[in-house]
Amino acid sequence: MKASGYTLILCEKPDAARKVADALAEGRASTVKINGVEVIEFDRGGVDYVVCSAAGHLYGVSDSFSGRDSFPVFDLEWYPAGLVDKKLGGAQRRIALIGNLAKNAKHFINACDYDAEGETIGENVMRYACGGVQGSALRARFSTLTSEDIIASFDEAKARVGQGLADAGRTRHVLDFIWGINLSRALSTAVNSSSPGYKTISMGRVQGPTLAFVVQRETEIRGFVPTPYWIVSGLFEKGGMNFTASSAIGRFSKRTDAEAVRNACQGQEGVVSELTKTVFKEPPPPPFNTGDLQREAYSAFAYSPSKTLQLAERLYLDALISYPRTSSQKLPPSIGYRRILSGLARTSEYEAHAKELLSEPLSPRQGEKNDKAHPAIYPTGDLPRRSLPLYEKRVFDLIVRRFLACFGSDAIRERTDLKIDVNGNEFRVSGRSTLRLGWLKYYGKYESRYERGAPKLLKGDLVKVIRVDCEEKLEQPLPRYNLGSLLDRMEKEGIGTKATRAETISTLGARGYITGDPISATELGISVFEVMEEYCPKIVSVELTRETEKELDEVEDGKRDGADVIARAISELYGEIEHLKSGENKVGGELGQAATARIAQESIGRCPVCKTGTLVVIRSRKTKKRFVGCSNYENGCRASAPLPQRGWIKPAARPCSTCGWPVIYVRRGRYPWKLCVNISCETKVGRKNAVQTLQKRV
Amino acid sequence: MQCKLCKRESEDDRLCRYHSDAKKALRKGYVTWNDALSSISWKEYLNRVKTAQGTGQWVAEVIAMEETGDSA
Repeated sequence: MKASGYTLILCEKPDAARKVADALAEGRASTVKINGVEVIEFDRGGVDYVVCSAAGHLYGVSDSFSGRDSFPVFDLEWYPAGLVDKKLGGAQRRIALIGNLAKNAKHFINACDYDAEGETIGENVMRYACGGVQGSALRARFSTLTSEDIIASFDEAKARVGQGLADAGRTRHVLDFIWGINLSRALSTAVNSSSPGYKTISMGRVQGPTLAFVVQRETEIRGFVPTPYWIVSGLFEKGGMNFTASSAIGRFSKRTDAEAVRNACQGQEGVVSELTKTVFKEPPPPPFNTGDLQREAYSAFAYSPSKTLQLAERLYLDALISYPRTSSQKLPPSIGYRRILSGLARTSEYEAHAKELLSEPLSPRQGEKNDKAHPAIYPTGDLPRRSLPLYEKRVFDLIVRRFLACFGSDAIRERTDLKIDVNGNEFRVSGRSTLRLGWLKYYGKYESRYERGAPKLLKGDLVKVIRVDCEEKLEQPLPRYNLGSLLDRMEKEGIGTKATRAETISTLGARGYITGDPISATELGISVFEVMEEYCPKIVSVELTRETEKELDEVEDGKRDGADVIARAISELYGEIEHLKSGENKVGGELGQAATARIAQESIGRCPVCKTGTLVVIRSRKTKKRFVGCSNYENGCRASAPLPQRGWIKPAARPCSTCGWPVIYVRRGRYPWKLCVNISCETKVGRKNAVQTLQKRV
Repeated sequence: MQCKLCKRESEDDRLCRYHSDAKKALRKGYVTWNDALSSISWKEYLNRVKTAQGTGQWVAEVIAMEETGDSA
């Protein structure tokens, strides 16, 4: 281990630390493990370097651990993450190691991801673990983990770059904590003071308005009365060719009106009164930012936004794509279009398309959104060095094809509109065809164009009416949000960040406020929203959250002080908490009922041991694992059984015919399977013995 | 007082605000259906809405209540 006088490089993750060391050391790095933490050392141009990683947030915001029921809490400090969250015990070890390495270091370089989270991690480590060197530490900024980018970023590293991002990141953490802890404690205290048992009801700054979107849509759907309307369409014939056209009126709100048109056209002859052909251009889509990628991956593969981000993060750490947390829809020339395309041309899959694009001048489609820290998501041109699992392969292919499509020419399409006059009634039929594929050929299976040929007719042609139908339909409510459309709504309303939106949706699911996909609000979610809307409407309003996001942007730009934003948020929140306190009994009554109902919903059947309690799904506070336990635990019944940790669970109609314990359906993939929850059920013992016998024979 | 259909706090007509709104929407819907079909009886209307795709859960619960004659 180097003695002293070295430059200490801090990366966000161990994988990134390895990539950085590989690039800078050109293969001459040595790795040691100190207390289980990886440290890499090398020398470059006569300078000694030591690289270590933070492995996520090493510091978290907390109050002074005054007890979990006291609120409001506005007096906060940054503490080592292990003190804030017991699960993060490893953070202490890492902080101690970085602190020791910092004592002998001469210079410091922060090489965490260049965004608000990365800046927060880096700033906190430099500030608290390295003895307050955040002002003098250099900042290496890179958007990909390719060797060229890493070397260039270290050559150009400067001090105090990204201070705005760090301030905004730290302010966001404080705001989220203040919001979350005070609202959650106020709600939980209200519930626990008016109903038996201990229940936790939580609420966060971005969760409030997001829950509002889902609940408002849910109430519209649940209170919807469908009303009828009619569509009139005719089957026509010309020269042996049949085609269908619809009445130009569209929807008839009265049955008699629709029937009158049908009767007037039945058995008549029509004439093509108008024929128009319109040629139009479809420009390529803009390059991916985080939200666009998440939406497209959801629509192409049904991947949840958080899963897509996780997969993209993996691809980034393998230096296959650029940094995936970005708002930008722009690809600057500095990323090296030709170099990337030449890299992609080395695979048979993209060779033809990449070579075709390389033969022409390159000018990608640029979107409107920008991000000061990173460009849009693009492939680096490096090829996978390992066999990518299917999930990662799909996301990588989507990103590559989108990148290729951005360089494609406009697609040229034609729309044909025909109007047919039948006894004074107008019918319409239209078609769309593609004259030139342009970017569509690069985007491959991910493009979804509407293609339907129009009947080949000329103006003045006579057509025979074979049949006219009058079909009754019913108005439908707006569809429920899915993961993609909810993310879209959050982005449009300007709440949350590209990095946290998916997590906010997952949190609402974990709290039991929303469920399924398409997403519905649960009874508990509706009740929490009702209470918030009545006592602290600002918390669930988009305006306050959007306003705060704007202020955080100003902190990022250095136009505002983070402390001002926190002070304003505290004054807003204080008033809302006071309202909530004033109606504590009513709030507790309403929420307590919904929370109890939720527990009832999680009941999977009667307890076969005590015969009076019910078996309910419980999540361990300590391990966070779910299991089945009896509701009569407090009266001495110890019936319990483990459960599969992943997937959706639903009780079956009948208990197990062998042991009498409840049977559940578990669904993780497409099809559910049936399972008796009793671990000692004879059916399982029989199966286990059969497997053991088979194994012995083999 | 509790809503007859869901145990939420009820408003003046013994239904919570959601079921009460659903009941109002159901009454309003009858006018639209009657106009659209020239004529439809209340019973037939309830039967059609009850089995229609897209009918909301709270509306269906109000219909069930109306059909049993247990009107709020």
